[in-house]
Amino acid sequence: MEKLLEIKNLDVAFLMGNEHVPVLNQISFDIYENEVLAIVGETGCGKSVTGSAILHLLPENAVTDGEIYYKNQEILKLSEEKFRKFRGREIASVPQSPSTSLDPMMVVGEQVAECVTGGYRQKKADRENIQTRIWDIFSHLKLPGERKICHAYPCQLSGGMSQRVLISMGVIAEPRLLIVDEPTKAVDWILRKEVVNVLRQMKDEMECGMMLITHDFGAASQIADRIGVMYCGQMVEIGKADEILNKPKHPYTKGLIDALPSRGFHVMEGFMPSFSELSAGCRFAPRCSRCLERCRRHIPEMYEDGNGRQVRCFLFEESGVAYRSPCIEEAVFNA
Amino acid sequence: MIKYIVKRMATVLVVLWMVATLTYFTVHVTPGDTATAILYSVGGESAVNSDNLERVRSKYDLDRPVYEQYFEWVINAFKGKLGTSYKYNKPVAYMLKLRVPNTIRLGLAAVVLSIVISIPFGIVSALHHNRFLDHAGRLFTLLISSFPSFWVAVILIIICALKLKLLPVGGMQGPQSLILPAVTLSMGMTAATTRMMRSSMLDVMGQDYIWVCRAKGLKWNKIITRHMLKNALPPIITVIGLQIGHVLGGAVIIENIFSWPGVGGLLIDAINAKDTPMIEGCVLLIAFGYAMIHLIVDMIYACLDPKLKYGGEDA
Repeated sequence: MEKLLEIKNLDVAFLMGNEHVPVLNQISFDIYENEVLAIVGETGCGKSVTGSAILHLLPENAVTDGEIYYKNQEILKLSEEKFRKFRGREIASVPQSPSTSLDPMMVVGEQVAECVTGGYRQKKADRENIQTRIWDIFSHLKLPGERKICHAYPCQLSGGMSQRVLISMGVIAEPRLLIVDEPTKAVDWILRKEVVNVLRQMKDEMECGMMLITHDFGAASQIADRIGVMYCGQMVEIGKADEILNKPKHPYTKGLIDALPSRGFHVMEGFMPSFSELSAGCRFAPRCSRCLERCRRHIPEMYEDGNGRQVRCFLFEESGVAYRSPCIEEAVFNA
Repeated sequence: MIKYIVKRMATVLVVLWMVATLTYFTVHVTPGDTATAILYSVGGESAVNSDNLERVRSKYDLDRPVYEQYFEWVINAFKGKLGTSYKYNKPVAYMLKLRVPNTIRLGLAAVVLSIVISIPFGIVSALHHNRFLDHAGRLFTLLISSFPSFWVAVILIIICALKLKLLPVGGMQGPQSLILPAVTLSMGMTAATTRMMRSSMLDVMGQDYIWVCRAKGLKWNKIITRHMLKNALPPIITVIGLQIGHVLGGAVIIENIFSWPGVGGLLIDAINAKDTPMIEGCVLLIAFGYAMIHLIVDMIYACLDPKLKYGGEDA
């Protein structure tokens, strides 16, 4: 399979006052064509920041470093004007929180159409064409009364309907890569199932890569081909979905899976440290039950076992060679 | 909608009655004899003698108890009769009809001027958040809102009328005499609206849906015109409505300084002469204008905001 997106050693820091607070550290992963990669992790581990960084939509105080290749073209350093053409058409996103992601003063049909028209007036024929496509997508996503919904304001829609309108906005321009951010975050159990079904259906029908950002392992396992686990701004493990779920290697991944209700609900101890007070060694060391002496002093590298499985843990040092260059986190931000 | 308007109109009536009552008794408890004040304002000191006083009192029923005068006035007012001005000896309604268009002209000029200035200024300020233009804009609004309008009026007269001789000092001689009073009157409103526009835009810029618009690949100017302005506007309309009320109040002073023949001037004259029917007429008119503007603002709001339009009764 062709590589669609390749992220190499991505660092993101936020400038707070005079201080750089590092949020993403040496993030590296690839997304292949027609593949769903789920990025899983606790709230605040930097999943959404990764998504925003790909889309060049980080806040103004963000400083980025590293490389992002889209179809072998470097995109991280592109100017805003040049990159804008990628948004929506090549790389689209389905944002989290459906209730606040739609403009409350515009009918939803218009908001979906904008993804194609760019907000410019279209000829009558084109307008009708777009309208039909929106109806198609809406009915495909099982939005009831798809024709009427086009003229509805967001306040007239339920959470699930808004979520599906957002999905339509992501897919209407037929992007090659879709970044879906927390689709199951603010929805109840029944709706979650529906959203998962919609995403699975999309995966089967649309031929595009998908990056699914979620903290919901269950949803990830049903949709994703591969899963990447993030902890505190670092990728700690990445591999095929069933391998990650059934044979987790990193103690954090293990902890997450053990905490699932279906796997016994064994809650991990401790909390994720704040980005401004990180210790020198492995970021998971303070919570890790298998922590070694060296874990407290050195940051482990990403070790690969040869089958594409990567783990950032000294326990698996022997199982593979270092995948990326060692990350010396001070190097970038104190420079 | 019609039910809502009828309900609002009933409230307006109650408000008007309360305003009128309060004004009536306030005028009455201010020191000084009404008949003396009338005579003094019409014929100067020489006109004030016991003969004339007696005649004025009996002519305007001033010798009757206050509450009787008040009830009679209220009943007449409900019938639409505002009475006769003591000072001008002409019907109040006639006097108002002469003056109201001038006040509307001045108020409208001030409001249009301030909207034309403040909305673009607010937008530019927000788009250049924390940069030079933003700081400059904020300093400017702080300055113009800190200067008292009567002081600005005098300074403008000195500079533009007396020194440069560009514009007339006062009165109403052609459109150029509208400029100075309108500028003075619009300043407070301009400052408040600019600041509101700026903060409203900043608020909208931070919303998730703007992020989504950018993620769609929309051009920045399209995001501003199609999404930001629409969402930033409703609070501005409220502020403009409130500010028009202030303009109505401010007009009383500004009209006097520039000798603009509007309702404000009439009101001040009437107060000096303790001309109760005239005062009541002016106050009622201003209060009515204020209430109407609020009603219009609420209706515009309801039309603009889909949440109010479709959100049902409790929204």
